[in-house]
Amino acid sequence: MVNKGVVSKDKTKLLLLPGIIVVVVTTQIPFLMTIIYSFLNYNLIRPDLGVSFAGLKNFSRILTDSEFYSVIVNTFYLTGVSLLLCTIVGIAVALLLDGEIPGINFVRTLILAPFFVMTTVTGMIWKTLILDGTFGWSGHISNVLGVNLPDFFSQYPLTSIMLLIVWQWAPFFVLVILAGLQNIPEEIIESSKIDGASWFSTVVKIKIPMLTMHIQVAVMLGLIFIIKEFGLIHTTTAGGPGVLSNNLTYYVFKVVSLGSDVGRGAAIAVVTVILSVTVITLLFNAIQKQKDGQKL
Amino acid sequence: MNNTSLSKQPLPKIVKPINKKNISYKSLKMLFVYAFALLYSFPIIYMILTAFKSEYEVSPPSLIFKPTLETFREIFLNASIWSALSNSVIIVSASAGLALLLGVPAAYALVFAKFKKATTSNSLYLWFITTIILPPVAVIIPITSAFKAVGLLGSHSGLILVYTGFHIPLVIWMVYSYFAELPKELIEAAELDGASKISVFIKIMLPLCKTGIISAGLLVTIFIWNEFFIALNLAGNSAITLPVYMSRFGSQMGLFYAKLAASSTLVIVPVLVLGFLSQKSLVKGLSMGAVKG
Amino acid sequence: MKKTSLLNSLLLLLFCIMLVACSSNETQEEVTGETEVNSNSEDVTLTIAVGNNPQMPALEKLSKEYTEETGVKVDFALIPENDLRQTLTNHATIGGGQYDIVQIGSYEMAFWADNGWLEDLEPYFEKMSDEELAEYDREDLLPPVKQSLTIDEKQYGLPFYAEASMMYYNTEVFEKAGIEIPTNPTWDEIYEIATQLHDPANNQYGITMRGQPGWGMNGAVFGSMIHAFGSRWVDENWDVQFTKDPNMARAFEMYKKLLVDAGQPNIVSTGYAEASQLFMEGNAAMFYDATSLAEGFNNSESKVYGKFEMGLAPTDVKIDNTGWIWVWALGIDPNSKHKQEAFDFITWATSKEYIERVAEDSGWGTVPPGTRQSTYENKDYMAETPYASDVLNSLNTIKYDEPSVDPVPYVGIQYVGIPEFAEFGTQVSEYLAEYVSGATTLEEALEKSQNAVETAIANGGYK
Repeated sequence: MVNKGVVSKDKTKLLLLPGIIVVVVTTQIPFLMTIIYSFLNYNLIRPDLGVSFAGLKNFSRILTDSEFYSVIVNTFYLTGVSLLLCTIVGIAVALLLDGEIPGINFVRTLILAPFFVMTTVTGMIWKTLILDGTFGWSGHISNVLGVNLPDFFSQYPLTSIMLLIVWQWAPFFVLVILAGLQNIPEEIIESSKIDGASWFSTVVKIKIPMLTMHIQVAVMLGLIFIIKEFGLIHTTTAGGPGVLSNNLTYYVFKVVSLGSDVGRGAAIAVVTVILSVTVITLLFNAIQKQKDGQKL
Repeated sequence: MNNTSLSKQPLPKIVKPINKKNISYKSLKMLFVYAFALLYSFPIIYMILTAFKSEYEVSPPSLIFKPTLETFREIFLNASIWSALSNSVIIVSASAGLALLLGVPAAYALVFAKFKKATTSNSLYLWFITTIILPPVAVIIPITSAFKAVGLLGSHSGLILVYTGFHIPLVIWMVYSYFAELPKELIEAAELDGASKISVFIKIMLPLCKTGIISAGLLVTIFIWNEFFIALNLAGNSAITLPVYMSRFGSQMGLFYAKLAASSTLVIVPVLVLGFLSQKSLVKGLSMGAVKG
Repeated sequence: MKKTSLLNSLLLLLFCIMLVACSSNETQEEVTGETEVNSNSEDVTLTIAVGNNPQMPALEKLSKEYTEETGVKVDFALIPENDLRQTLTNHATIGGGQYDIVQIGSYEMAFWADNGWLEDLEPYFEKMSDEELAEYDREDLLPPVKQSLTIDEKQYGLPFYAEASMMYYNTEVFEKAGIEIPTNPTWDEIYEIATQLHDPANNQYGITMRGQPGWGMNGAVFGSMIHAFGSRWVDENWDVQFTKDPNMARAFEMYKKLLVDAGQPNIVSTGYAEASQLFMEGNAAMFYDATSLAEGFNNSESKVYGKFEMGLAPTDVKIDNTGWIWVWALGIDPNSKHKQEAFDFITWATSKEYIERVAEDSGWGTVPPGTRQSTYENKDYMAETPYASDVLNSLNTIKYDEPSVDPVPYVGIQYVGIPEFAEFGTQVSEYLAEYVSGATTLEEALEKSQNAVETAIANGGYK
């Protein structure tokens, strides 16, 4: 598509070429090949069976597997609920931090930290130092207080992972929403106060509506990253028990790395892409529509 | 900093009368905020504390202990964390650098290049943006087999290539709106003065978009530094990066909590520092990209 | 397939262009066996891929002496044990060539040889002189160990170290409670003792076992339990037994109640690293796991140093030794260009001489265990490792080719020796963990396991 304009003298657009090539090579072509693989019988550890055209066999096998549907449900539950919680926590904490507090930089730094920690470290630390029933704080608290804290990753695997995601991503929401709050002109807030509006109604009626754009940005970016979460699952529950804490990304990884079944793994990957892209596009369109609505 | 037009100047504060009720409320709120912040970051604080414990003091967990550097000394002597660290540094700097090198000019071209069809630039931009949402699982299987075939599996170059490809769209997305804000007359004026397009780009445009480029670079650096899925599949053993190293921690040298904490601390410090230095420009870059895009 | 290969080559071409364009001069892993074929052994370099476990640094260190003696250089690629399987499978599926020698486990042995991914070692043994043969002494290798490396009378790997699974007992805890350590107990007896010794309020657990899902994790423990309870994965006609054999259900129930009533907290996130940590810290009265972990307990840094004993795996319907056996062996890539040199090296690394050399270097407590009768006849070794005779007894009494009471069409105790097992074994281990955590009922767990294994068996074309 780039070639169309070559005739014109403007060479600026040549600057696009390297970028396009790299992106095509690393994303588009491999994705095309994934689609092709998904129609093949192709198992790496059964060289005796060879590679052959499988038709829709890979798809019919995954689509008739009830496990696959629970993985889909897991993925959307994990993503949806954590985004919701992130938004709530994000708004609440941003409101808390928006004001004159001595040492605010230090406080913000502390709250922001989890966002910058790599997921594998987050997973390992929570699993060993915090939520371990013997050596960690949860075990210690159970012993000292005589209460029986649950075995988080065994009994509530998906919820525990979700909480870790929220712990990691809420700071990002705070960051973005706080920026929005600080952009709200002081006089608007003051004038509403003069009108006798309570703190609560100022927040709900004035601040939050003015933050819509920033909340949308946070949700959108959060969605793109949370829907493909992998490291936290890998280091805490490895998707288990059962498939209770598998999301789609993790499921593909397991099928390929354990079963070496390239065909079926590719089929799941294709379905994953279709689902993720659909959800993200729907949300994006909704936001776009709302934006247009506001402009009018 | 150059583009003050983009950031709103804070309005002069209205001075409020101070009363006692206000003060006690304020200090209560302050206490609450401090307590909340400490509690929220407790896992990280405790991890850093544990890094200064000896292996014997880890269980039961406590906050009072005699700090020692012994654990750090032990992990410093361990060659494998150094190789993971150097792999990470090489891969992250090369791919973040390349993503900027290819992404920034592309964004510039998307804004200023003249296409035959006026819509081409917009649809190209949209195409770049949609690749941001493509999850890595979509491509990982063929890339793994292709890398196997050409021997890129477990090489720095392979990971750099994939990371570059995956982060160019992000760079474009973040930088695009900065270029779009620039007045076209600037270019025209400069060209009238006889400057070439390239020198206009380098001498005028780039400095004006410094904030955007820096924040894109920082964000990409942080993302790649922390990236796990692609590295797990493609790094093999010879190019193992820090996230993969950390995920294997228990199985590699036994589950020693103090060593785990010390290694984790070592691994997150660089991004924590980067993150704190960049939080302001990060927010600006992100919200610019999203709000305008 | 034409389309795929066309696209493949297109992709490769683009990659190459890319790489030139990026002009990256990174230090790349050497991929192809670019070493020229050279008859002069002075220039031979062998590349060996091994797991990053405690035995391997010693091998790497001592191989320098081998190089001095023979002129053959040995390059080590130390790979974390968890990733070894994946790395080597990747290596094999693209036709090998990168590594001359690979470390593989009993499970891979079962089908790697069939896939043509391992070199048959018999011709090389035939080439050996009588003197060399006598020195290597194949008869000295423990029979079940050798058996697990032999397919159709042909040996495909030489054992570097081997382990059985046994029950570890913390003698101090037993003495305090006034309970005698059982000899040859049933799982029911173990359960009874475990519940008596269980005192979670004081961080004292009756037993600890792997609960983390994975065929080589909780699957290994549970696999040996399946056979103890007289059940099997499939019958001789590949009929899957989960919902059909009531003994299978008993194994599920026992595994769950042991861990829930008397086991460690965080059951399903406990792997062998976590479990052995618990035992080493003295938090667990019993620990059912691999004998190779004993070395870690048998040193002054461990809180159970001199305070533990080992006994045979618990029984039930099957009364012989029901423990598992696992051998880490060294095999040769059939595409290696230095197969003879590779063979010479692996015979050296698995010889009596090597074991003695390790002992000289770092003490008898650290020699690779479980492979040779002669190790267990050495007084120094027996003195430094008080548990050695129990380990030997366990290794020698495991019936590798008769894992279960009734006949099975596969080899393996804690695994089914077919390529598909890595996946369905893990699926079953996941359902087991799910059942233990209380998310599913026994019937659901059995049903899910049955379906998963049936699908895999059917797709693999076994039935």
